[in-house]
Amino acid sequence: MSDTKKTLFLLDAYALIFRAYYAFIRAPRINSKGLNTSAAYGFVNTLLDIINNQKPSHLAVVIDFAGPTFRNEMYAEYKANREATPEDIKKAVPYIRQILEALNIPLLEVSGFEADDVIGTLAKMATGKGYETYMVTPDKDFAQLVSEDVKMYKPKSRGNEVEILGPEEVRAKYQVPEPINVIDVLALWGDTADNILGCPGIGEKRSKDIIQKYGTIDQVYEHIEEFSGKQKENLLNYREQVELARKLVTIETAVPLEVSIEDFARQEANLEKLRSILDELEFRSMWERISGDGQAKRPQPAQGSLFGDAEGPAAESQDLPQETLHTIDEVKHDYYLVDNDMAVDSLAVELSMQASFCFDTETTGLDVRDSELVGIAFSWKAHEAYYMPLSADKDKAVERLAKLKSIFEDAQILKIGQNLKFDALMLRQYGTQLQGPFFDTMVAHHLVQPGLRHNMDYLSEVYLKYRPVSIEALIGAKGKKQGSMRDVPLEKVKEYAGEDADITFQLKAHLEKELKSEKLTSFFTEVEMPLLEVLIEVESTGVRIDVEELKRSGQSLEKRLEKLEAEIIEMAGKTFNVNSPRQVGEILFDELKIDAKAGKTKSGQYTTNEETLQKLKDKHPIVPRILEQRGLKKLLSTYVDALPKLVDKNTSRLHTSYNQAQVVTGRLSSSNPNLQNIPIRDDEGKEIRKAFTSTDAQHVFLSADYSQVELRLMAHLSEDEDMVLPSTGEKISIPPRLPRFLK
Amino acid sequence: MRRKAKTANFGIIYGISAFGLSERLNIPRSESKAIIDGYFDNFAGVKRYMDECIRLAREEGSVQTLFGRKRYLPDINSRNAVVRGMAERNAINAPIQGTAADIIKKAMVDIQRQLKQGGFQTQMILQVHDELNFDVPKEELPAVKKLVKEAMESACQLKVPLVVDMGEGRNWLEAH
Repeated sequence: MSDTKKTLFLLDAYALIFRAYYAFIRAPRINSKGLNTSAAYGFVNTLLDIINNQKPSHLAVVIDFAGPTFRNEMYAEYKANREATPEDIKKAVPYIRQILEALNIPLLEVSGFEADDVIGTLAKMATGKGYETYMVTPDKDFAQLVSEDVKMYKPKSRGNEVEILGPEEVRAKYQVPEPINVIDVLALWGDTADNILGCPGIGEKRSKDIIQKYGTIDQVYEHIEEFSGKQKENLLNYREQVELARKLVTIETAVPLEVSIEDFARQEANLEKLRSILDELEFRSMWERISGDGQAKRPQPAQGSLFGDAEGPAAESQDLPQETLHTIDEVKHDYYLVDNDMAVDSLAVELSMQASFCFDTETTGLDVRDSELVGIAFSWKAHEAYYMPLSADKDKAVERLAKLKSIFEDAQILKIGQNLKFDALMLRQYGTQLQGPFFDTMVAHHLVQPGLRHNMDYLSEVYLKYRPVSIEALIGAKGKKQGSMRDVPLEKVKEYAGEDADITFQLKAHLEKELKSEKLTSFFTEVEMPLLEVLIEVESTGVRIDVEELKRSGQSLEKRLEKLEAEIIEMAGKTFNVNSPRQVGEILFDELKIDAKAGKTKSGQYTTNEETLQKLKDKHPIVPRILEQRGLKKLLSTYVDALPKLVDKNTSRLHTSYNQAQVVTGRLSSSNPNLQNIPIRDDEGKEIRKAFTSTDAQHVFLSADYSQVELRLMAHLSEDEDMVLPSTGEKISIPPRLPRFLK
Repeated sequence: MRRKAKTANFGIIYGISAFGLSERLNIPRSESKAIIDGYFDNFAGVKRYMDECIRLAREEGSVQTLFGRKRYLPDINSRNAVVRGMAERNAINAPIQGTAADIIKKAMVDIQRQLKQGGFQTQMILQVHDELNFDVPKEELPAVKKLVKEAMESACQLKVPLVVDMGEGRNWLEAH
């Protein structure tokens, strides 16, 4: 604000809100309450970007009047083709209003007029009074208002930087003598988004060319004899429509307003109010940007805090809350170290008297069979925890743990934890069989909010407004250089581990409430939690893998692969690398020319992904072979080569890991390996399945499979009479009438 | 032919479009449309159910399984037809997929409890899709087969019977 020139920014609210909403449409921002916050987020982001980087001296936001405007009186069909505003946007608007209020930014809404007209009027009012005005909008209509003092400011969008259009830019972009003639271009061109028709047969390019030559619509009709054919005919036949379009696209710049531009001078924000709204929306990083919080961790930006005026008094803002999330540094807590026999004994006594307690294991890694226990933290009271370190000497660790064994195995005590399956499997390595009942906060959260994240840090921020110490602060970032929990000073591990147990304990109360209000308590306690016990059992039992058989399968698959590749090369008529998608593309489309309209990727090579090839399967016998070759290759690498490495050398068993909190539908998923991906019917899948065996000749491998369960459920849910057969136990495999429609 | 019928069957109950089905089956659009129309002529209840799922999802913002597990569908009112279409398919699919998940989970819990109570040495070793696999000592086989089948088939009472197919052998291939 060193410049004497005053800058006025006028924001077109809905244009920015819609743009923000659709920018996130593929991956919308959803907060923990299921609210889509894309629109509010994008809008406020643009706003902050302007405040931060443009430092306007004056700022106002203008929103369309929610109702008919003078344009509807002129033309009933105006914007009639618009679909209803998405619910998520409607819900976002009240939040945006509140945020603007907290930021002390005026919001204008004038009955009977659109935001365009209000902005146009304000821009005109500011002209000649020493303001440099920027109309913030992506809407091209505004180009007509541009002058030396009034510019269009198109905010950043994916991949595009801010674009500022002055008179020169508008002249170049629309091929017009003056910005005002943008009206004439739009009148011919029309605007389908607003249901403005313009002249049939004239689109963007022709319209620009015509106006470039004649300047205005009036001149066009003045020289109508210079046109010919269909174009002339259309111009004449649709003259009325063109004239109407001209009126509709013209922005009104004399809206009666009882404001003065001076009213828009920037004012102090009400940070406290702002914080509570941003909290509700869960815009944490945004709060940090605004409050200047978190800057200690990041390099100091060149310009100071957003609302800190260099010349103004800075003291006031320091009295305001600086942080929206609490941390270990300011919340009072008592985390105790339990590191001698006497302390462990008294811990055992305390635990044995609890109806429930929370615990969390600290380990040297995340792979159960490859990690050691470093210690265990316990909590049964908010802000209080106990940390028991365990020796790297496994015998000593087992000995110490033995004092707590009876408690972990006590079926009368509820054990609370985050991802308890991991803790249970770790304890098993040390001779302790963790026994239910359980309350797993991760699984509970998946049940109430399947689409969100379920890690403890996230849950803590959402439910407790508390940011836990990050593991990276202790052992460094993920990667090869990440250290081990074993090497972290005891005092630090105690605080970290104690905090984990404490937070998880506190989370349980919140999640219990959520389960109750969603009426999922009984499903959680009667199915999901007992299932957790089953999964611990299944995972720790594992399945026997015949590694020799797998090797034999590998060899036969390799042979098939070689044969296939030879066939492919023979069909291609020349040698090439079948594993190179680029070369495959060249063979298919340049050599064999199987598809003249073959698409290319950004890097200029032909697309040969599965989807593309599936469609071309019948075009040439080489295509199915390439597909098969790729499938085989994948199978070999994921199962034949990788599977033996996952098998326990001592027991020959594979301990697939099941995930109970991953799939949104509620299905279980598995990893290391993902069993879901083993092909079902193909011969290759059979080769893999052959290697999963019973324990020995005295055991049988038994498989039990629900038949057509999805169709049965459809029959049940839809109560379709033709699907629900008389209950004679009759199978409803394929609805009997369907095949008639298939030739 | 059977594959076609099956793809159509599953596709239709998951709200596949004529375009999607023609792509999947490599048949002309007109044919896929005839299949879908024909399907709905015969299974009017299915069509009603699908419409009802979408309507409910629009109203509530979510759908749920027979056991009450919810799936939120924030995009169900999207103006973008592609995004909305995806949410609509999920509105139909999620109650079915989710209920199937709930059922097999409940069956796992029931089976494990009964195996334990009965003092069996049998162990559950794999769960994949709608399938459970066990490592069974030979002498326990008849009893365990009965126990597993009954527990799975009675995991949930539907208007149509739940049916479980069983197989056994030395390995997964033979059993499956």
